[in-house]
Amino acid sequence: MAKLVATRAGAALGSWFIERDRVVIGRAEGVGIRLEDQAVSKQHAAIELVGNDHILHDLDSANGTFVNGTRIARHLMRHGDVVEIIDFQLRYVDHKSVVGQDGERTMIFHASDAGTAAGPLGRSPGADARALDLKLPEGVLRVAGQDGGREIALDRALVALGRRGDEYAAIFRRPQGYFIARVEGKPPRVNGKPIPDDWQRLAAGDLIQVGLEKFELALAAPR
Amino acid sequence: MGGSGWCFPANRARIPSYVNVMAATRRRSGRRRAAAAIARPEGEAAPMSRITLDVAARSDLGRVRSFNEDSYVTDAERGVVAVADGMAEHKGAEVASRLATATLVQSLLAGQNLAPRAATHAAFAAANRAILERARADPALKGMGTTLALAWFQGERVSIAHVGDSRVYRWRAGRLERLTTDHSFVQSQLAAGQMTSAEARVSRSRQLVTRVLGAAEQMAPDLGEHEVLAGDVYLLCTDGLHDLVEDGDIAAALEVLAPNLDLAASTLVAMANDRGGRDNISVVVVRVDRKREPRRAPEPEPQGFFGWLRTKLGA
Ligand SMILES: [Mn+2]
Repeated sequence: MAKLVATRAGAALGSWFIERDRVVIGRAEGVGIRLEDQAVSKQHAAIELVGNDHILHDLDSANGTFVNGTRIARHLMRHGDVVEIIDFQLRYVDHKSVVGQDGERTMIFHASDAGTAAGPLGRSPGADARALDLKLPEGVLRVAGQDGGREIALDRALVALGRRGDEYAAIFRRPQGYFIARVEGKPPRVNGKPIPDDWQRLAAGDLIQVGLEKFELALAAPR
Repeated sequence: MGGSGWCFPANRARIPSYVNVMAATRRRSGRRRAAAAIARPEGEAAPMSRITLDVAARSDLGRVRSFNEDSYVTDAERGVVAVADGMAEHKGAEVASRLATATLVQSLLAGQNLAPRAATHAAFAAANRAILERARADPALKGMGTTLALAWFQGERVSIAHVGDSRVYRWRAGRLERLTTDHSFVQSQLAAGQMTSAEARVSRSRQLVTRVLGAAEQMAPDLGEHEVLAGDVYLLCTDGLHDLVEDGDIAAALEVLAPNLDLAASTLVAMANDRGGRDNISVVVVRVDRKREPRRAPEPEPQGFFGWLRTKLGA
């Protein structure tokens, strides 16, 4: 279950599990999470459960609600987010969002059990986000021979080399590095050797030949 | 995947015995080529199909899960390809997805004399019924269900049908198009303007599907019919792919690797695994080509000037 861990000026204030479908944060008595300070509005912000997500809303507070330093009107909460209200800090902790041993296991629960989520059939909560911050290599192919000096940017997932229906290969940009494979026709050569089928990893300085065209792989220093 | 110094967990999925017939062909990630023509009732002239289909498929455990609960089926000769993503309350996720793909194909074959729309409806209904009946017969399987996405090629038409968040994409003339709309909570939030696409990417509701086979007696798929053009590449996939791999990267794989569908399929799987492989990943890729004229017997040597001219003009 997700919770908010509160601190003020570095001092721990305790933590609240978010057990209800809507939890109000504010100064008024009887709200779910009470922050006692005159600068906090009576009903300052609320967290609502929508599907499997917690959505934070600012309730037109006088002094605003901030998440990770940015003022928000509405925000989809993610594990590790820090909500700031005046000088209170509420850290959103949601261990379910960290991929468990069995990953995104697929499960159904019946519409009638699904509660507020408008009865969707469900699988277990999705882990937090796709790994969008993939670290990818930076490199170019230097064209050798007559076209010498020309460069082919390797800034996409796949770059085609050669000619379709003839000798045709591709370069695959992956977190582990650049890979080459034959797509059709005779296999490309790397440092003079024809490569076996399927993706083969390339190293900086490798000489690649596809048909009559020759290239050299240049890699930027890893950052 | 080849021994190229990078590999992913093997597909260790268990195959129930009652779908052995399907399993024998399905678990191999092979490639089939066939003219896309389904047998017609006798006496009726089959429309001459001018296209051929090339098919490749992969189903992968991913990098986190312990079981593969996806299924797929490819029957290039009959022009039928489908993927399914099983889910369960307790167990039976893989039973549901396999029952769905197996029943779908059997039912489409039995319904050959129906119009494609009616046959597709009947096949989804049969798959739904098969799952419900099996769950009733075995209480341990109660609550199992599955997504199902179908592309059924008939000459120069394709029927697309789906339930859940498994998708069908089409690469045509430099553009990737999605031919299905997910039956998912996030999709409904997006459509209602309740969620931005940036939020949809990180939403923890991404796993919530709003329509599956096996959940209710009545279950209608979304149906679409499209014209098929030579050069089209179709992709059917489970969310293990599209949840992790951006459309732009999917498009690149279909464009650049189209001549080698096995490589296209394994590369899509590799892309998902490179991004964490948090779910099972299943892909079926289909390339449509113009049928080559059957080779004629060698013509006699062209005679005289007109014969020479004819060969020059390629007549
Ligand atoms: Mn899935």
